[in-house]
Amino acid sequence: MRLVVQPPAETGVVHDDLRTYLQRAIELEHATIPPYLTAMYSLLPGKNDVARALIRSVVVEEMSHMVLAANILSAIGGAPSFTAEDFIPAYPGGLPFKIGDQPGQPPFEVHLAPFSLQLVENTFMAIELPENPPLDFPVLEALAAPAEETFTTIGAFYQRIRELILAAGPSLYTGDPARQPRHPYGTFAIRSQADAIRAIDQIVRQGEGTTTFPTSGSGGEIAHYYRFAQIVKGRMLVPDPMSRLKYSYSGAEIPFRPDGVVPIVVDPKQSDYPEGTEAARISRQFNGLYGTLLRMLEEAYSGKDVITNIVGIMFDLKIIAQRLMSVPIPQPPDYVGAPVFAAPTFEFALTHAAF
Amino acid sequence: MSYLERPRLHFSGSFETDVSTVNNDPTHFNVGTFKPEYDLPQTPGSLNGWWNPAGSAMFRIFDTHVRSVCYQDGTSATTPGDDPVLAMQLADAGDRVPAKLVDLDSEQQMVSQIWGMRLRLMTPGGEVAFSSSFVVAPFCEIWTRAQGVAGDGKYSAVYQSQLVDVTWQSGPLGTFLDELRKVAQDGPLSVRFVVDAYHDHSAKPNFRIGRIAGTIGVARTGEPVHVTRGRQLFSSAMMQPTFPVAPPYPQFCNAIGYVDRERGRIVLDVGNAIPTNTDFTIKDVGAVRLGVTVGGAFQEFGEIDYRSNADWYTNTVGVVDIPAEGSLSTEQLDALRENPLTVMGTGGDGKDTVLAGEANGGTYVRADDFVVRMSPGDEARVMLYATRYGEPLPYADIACFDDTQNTLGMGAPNPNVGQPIDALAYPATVTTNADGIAALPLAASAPNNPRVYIDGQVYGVRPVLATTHVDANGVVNPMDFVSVFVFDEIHVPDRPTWYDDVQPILQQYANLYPVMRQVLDLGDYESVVAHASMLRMVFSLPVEDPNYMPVTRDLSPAKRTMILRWLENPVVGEAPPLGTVQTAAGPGSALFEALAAAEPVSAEEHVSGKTAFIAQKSRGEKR
Repeated sequence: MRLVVQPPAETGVVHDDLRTYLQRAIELEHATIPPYLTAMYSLLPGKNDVARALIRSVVVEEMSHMVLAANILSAIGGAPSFTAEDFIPAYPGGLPFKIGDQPGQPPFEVHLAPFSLQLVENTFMAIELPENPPLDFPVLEALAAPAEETFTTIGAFYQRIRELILAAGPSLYTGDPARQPRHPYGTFAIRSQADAIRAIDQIVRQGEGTTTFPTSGSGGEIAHYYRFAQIVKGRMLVPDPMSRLKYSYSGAEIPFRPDGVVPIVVDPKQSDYPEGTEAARISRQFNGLYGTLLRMLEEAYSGKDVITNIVGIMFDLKIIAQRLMSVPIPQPPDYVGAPVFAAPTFEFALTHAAF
Repeated sequence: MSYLERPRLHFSGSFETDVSTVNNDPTHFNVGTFKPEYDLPQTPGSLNGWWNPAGSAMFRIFDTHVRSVCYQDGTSATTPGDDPVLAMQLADAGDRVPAKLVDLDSEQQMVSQIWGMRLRLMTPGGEVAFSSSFVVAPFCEIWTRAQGVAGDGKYSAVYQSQLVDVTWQSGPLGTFLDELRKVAQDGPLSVRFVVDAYHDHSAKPNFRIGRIAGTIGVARTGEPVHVTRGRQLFSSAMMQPTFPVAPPYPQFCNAIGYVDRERGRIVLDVGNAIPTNTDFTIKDVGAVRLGVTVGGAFQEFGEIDYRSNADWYTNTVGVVDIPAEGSLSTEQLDALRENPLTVMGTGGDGKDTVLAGEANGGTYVRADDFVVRMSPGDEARVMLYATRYGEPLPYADIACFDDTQNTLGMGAPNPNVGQPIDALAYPATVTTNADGIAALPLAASAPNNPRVYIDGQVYGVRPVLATTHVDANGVVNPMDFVSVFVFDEIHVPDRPTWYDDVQPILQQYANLYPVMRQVLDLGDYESVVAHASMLRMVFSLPVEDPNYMPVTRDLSPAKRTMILRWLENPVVGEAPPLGTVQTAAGPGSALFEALAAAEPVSAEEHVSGKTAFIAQKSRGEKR
């Protein structure tokens, strides 16, 4: 995941750069999914359902962004990869391009952790921080240019991709559209430069809204950053003509019930679960099936119709994750604290064999 | 007989199954009386949703390895140094979710079928030697193998089927697999495996895990999918009316033999025949010998060396050559043509005692696909295969009769089964052709909702060779019959509505399959509409697909058509008067909290699925 991307050079190599950037966009979008899923799975159904639904809606869009980036890559003749050994980043760890790092602060790290208001505010909102924050937010200073290219925000990263798409011209789109999967999660096939620009704009708007609206346009859905902010503020963000920014957190209340969160282990590893235990077995099953999901995503770009497989796997992953979260981690005999429950480790089971 | 022929491989390891148990109790189908606690695990004092209400019906195999092979020339190998196949493992699907294990009906829980299973043979490096699809199959031959074990772990049963759509890796695969591939050509493989040692008590670390041990060989062209046309040996305990699941338990159960005349040996499958101890190791029942009984005298062919080492069962899966060395004489082989194979043990008094053997003059009949689902107006054909001493039995009459009350149902207060009897029609007698095969035609008509809150009706049809049927000493396996499910007839409206047509069906699924509530609430209009495109997809899949919904496969095609039509245009319709709509399912968190509370009932109080089915059945009053 720490692959270094050189800043783009002249037009002759723009095509190659664009491919590299799009592959990194796939990895970036994916890197957000395990922490979001972990927090979402830790919320018991029937309690904190609004927060659960909000996180779920973001996860679904992150998946659609991953698919859109992969569609563009496929459209320009690339082969999206989901199965490199480091495709799933190690948690805790930083995001690609050091996204989220702030000057003078320790490096931004993402954890696999149970839902909490602090997690949403300090991690999820930082991931989704808009490039052009509303006036309420501090303006970010530009980072000193390091040897390894970094972006402060996801939006800045996509701005670079957008520039590359425009610079590369309209002639790149020779990939067979039949190799792109049947538009799951509100995605669409990329056949032209215009489609690619539309996809990038959709990704950015859904993620961070526009410079004037917290939505992907007038009346559109609330962007990710603000969707998470609602959870922290405890109220839905709604149009408010009285507010200077025309929106305010004055909608329906989002009460937080701490008893509706499973106390799961933070940043678990498969090796943390002793062999032979139920936690080890179910965790291995989860990782194996997650690996299958990633392999099927890759196969989806060979023109094979595997969408049913993918939807079915995601359904099972949810069930397996929540089953794992009902298994207390074995503790030493003298342990006196409350039980801590196991959680998915999101480690890539590359093997095609049984798990 | 294929899986017993050469070449063949033997595998053993573990399976995991996660059946949902809320629907184990037929009365839970009643939406009007359903209580939220029926979705929770059993507690001391209350059965609730039995032992695994959070089940997803998943069935998968893991840690399952090739243990031994028999080559085409009859020699065998057991270590990876001998043949690369012995380092390989058998795995399930690598491209989708695992298979599903599903009961036919809450009132026929003894033929659970595996749906949508793919089996792959994998090298240690993760390459696929072959991949294949397992033809949907129910278990058979269930018996109490581990006496003294609480719960369903005491049972053992067999799945026999074929692996089709076999895709072989190109290039050399080693001596054994090259042989298997060559003999199979592009055709199906034959597979049979035993499942036992299942842990259905949540307090055990191996909860939901069991043992699998089986054989893969080549399927002969035109042979039945689920029947071995070999020598059927009946347990001597089968003469007991309580066989096979109530005491006295058999000291030895059914076995199948195949006479390999070319090599002068008998290949005997005792994989589901030898009892186990409570720790599931093979039980020592004394010396066990195979031979032929001629004129009342036992002629021994050889001993089954099942006591030779602790890994005997997992390495051989109970498939043995008799004699182990050398071959039978021509006279011995000739004697087998007209005389019963016999398994002889030693009784407590030191004298010979017959453990199992061919009965009924060596005749035997078996239905190939013995689980049938039908809609009113459907016709189906069940193929019956008759043999005599392992050879096809031509022109034999087979009596076919209703045996529902002896085979199905759980008695009051559960709905009655097999009524009305005339909703399922079939001839009283069918006759085998020159190849010993007969088709039993079934015709279904509307049962008219006899079970009120459970769709359709179940029937048990028993085919028995006419000669056995009239013989006072005839031996019949009570668990060997055809189970038929006939769906109710419904009128599919042009414009179905949520309240009138859809909610009553989906609420039942929401109640009986609480794990779904982690994804959506099937009883809630908004939730269903929000997931409409996913539901359209899974309701439209082939029923063999592991992603098919409903997973229980008990939704009639007519109701499925109606739900799909409604999903295209999800009309709410008029809500019934307040209080008449049952949305009994509790919040999804209640199930989780109950699971996490980890206070399982004791082994004594624990109620297992198959065990309870048998117990309730024997307790229930017949009407």
